[in-house]
Amino acid sequence: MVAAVAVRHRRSRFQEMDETGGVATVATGPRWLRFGLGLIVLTGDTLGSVLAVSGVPGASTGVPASSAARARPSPRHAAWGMLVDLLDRGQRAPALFRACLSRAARSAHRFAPSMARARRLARRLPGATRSAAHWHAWHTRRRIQLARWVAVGQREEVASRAVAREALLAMREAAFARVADSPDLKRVIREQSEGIAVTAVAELRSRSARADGLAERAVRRLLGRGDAEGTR
Amino acid sequence: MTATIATPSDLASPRAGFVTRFAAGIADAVILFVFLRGAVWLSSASANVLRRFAPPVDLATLVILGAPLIVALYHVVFWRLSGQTPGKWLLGIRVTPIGGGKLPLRRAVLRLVGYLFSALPFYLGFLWILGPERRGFHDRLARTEVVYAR
Repeated sequence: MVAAVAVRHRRSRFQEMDETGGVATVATGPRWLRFGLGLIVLTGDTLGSVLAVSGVPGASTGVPASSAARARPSPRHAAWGMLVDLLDRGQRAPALFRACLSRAARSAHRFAPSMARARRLARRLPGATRSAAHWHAWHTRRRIQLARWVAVGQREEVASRAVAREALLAMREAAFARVADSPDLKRVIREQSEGIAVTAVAELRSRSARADGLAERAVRRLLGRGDAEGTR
Repeated sequence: MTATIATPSDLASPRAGFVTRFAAGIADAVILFVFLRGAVWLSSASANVLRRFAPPVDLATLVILGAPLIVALYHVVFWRLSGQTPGKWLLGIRVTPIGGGKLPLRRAVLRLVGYLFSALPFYLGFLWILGPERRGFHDRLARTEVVYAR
């Protein structure tokens, strides 16, 4: 039944693809894969169009070629489809695994009474009590060991994080110092600063010179003398 | 007989107008204010630090009283040395005597005195710069002109 559902699901997905011809409705595979594939296709299209423009024989044009490729199935499409399907199954693996486990648990329930009887019998065997004590002691030791490992791991994580942070800071400082000490960079910064200052001063001077003329014209207009020849 | 007036465009280096000179004056005023304010602050701070070793006179008051002299020296020295105060340098203008050359000390002092006379009648001496010759009263008194130094 599960297979039937899956088959129906897959068929409907392809039907969607046939009807719309679009990518947005086909929700399979992770985004990064789709992005990568799209990038490859676009690069191919662009290269094809460039080669077509440059007159290389056998080169296809950009968009029409991609449309034609979509119409004609090729082994490449099969490979892509297989990859997407595999990834899709990978995404559904935890659910499938849980289903397997629940099936196993259901079948184990049938054997539960027999197993209990066997356990009771095993307890009556000679040396069973001592073995059980040994088992419990070993179990306790393992649990303590595990707890110790967890504590050590936590401490190690904190320490390694601190070390990494320190190292990154030191590396960053060293990189900054190296960049800051670079004579080329210093020269560029100095030249840019000088350029900005010179530009600002030049702009100020030209604007004030323009304002001189404007102010004089305004005064002359105010006094009713009109524009004088030769003045700015 | 008609008197010909040398307009700014007739001159080799055109004379600077009112706005440029006014902006240069403001720049100079800002520079002088910052300098004097810093000097007063330094005097007060040093008096506080030195306490009983400080000189008996109030240095800050001395700076304030000496401010007119400092302002006068600032202008005269810069005019004499390069024809440009820092404010005038920023705006790209220069004080030159009529006929060219460096401004002599006497004429620099005379120009400074002319500043006072220009300011007395409601700054009319400065407003004279708006005229076609672009020269104020102090320029006429000291026979100087302010030109674009570009």
